[in-house]
Amino acid sequence: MNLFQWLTVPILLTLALLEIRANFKNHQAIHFLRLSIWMTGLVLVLFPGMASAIAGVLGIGRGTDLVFYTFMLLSTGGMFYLYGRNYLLRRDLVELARREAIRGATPGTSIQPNLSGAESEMDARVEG
Amino acid sequence: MSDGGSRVWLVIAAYNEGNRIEKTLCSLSGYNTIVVDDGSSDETYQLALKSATWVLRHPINCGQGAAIQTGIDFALTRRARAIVTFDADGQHDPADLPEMLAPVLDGSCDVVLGSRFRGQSVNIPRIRRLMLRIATWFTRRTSGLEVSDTHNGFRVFSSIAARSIRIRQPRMAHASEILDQISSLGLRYTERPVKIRYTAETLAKGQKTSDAVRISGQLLAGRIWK
Repeated sequence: MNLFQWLTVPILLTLALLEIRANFKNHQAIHFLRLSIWMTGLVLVLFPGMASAIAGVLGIGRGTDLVFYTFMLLSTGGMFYLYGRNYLLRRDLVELARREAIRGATPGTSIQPNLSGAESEMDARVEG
Repeated sequence: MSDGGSRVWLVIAAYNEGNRIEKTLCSLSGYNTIVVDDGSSDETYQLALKSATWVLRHPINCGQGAAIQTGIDFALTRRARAIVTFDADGQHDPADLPEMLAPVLDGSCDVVLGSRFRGQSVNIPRIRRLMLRIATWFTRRTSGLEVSDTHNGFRVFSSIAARSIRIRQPRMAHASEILDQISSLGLRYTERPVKIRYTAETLAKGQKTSDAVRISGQLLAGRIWK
């Protein structure tokens, strides 16, 4: 093993083990996806020739290009996922802000609120 | 007098409208108004307190759609029979209110949509008119609604419609979302001519032509992450 492999293999192995442990606890697809990424990275670091072989089969040419394209695709997917999480989180935040706003509703200082639906100047206007 | 009128509540979403909110509220004196201050950093909240019936405040800026839904939720707790959404910037004309309210109050419609193209749009820039025409054409194709104006903030909802429609788009796309829901829920709707007055101020703060792309993106996101 070369220096790069000595540095990266333990990290990828640790990440994979953590993911396996998490996967046992709750079978979420995201754990499986991440485990696949760490394991693929581990195999490609240990056997660099494999990336070139797969790239050749796919018609990409160089293994480096295959890794680059895969990274781009995964990054795009990751951004899409994070955008979705952010979108849903924002929706929850809006709901919280709404509850807070309704809880803290304040009557105007110059006008008595029409709480009971009693007659108002508006009746005359609407009925015109 | 019936209690129909007094159960009418106007919901006004306001964000940094310190320069205009007072004038708008003055023009609506005598009406039940709910101002939802959407996390303004200026004196909108304090000024609204002087003239509005109720003032609500989002602790953070959530967007116009979110603020309108907050106002509607609150109006429903006040036993509203008809809920009007009205812009804070003074673009809308209160003189149009009786005509807008009539179909909901007489029970013939669930939703009344204001149309600047059936009424008047004063000083509307050509590019804005063109974009709105395209948006209207698109909405008619996608929702099947026979509308002449989209993204008009002047609307009236019956209490039934207000309970049925749930605005989940917090920002600008809520206008299209409302129309989609009117269509999918099968609500009875009609349009009424209204007058919209554009000024340099409202044009500077209002929607930009480029927002069409953003709105499309928001609608797409809303369909993916439900």
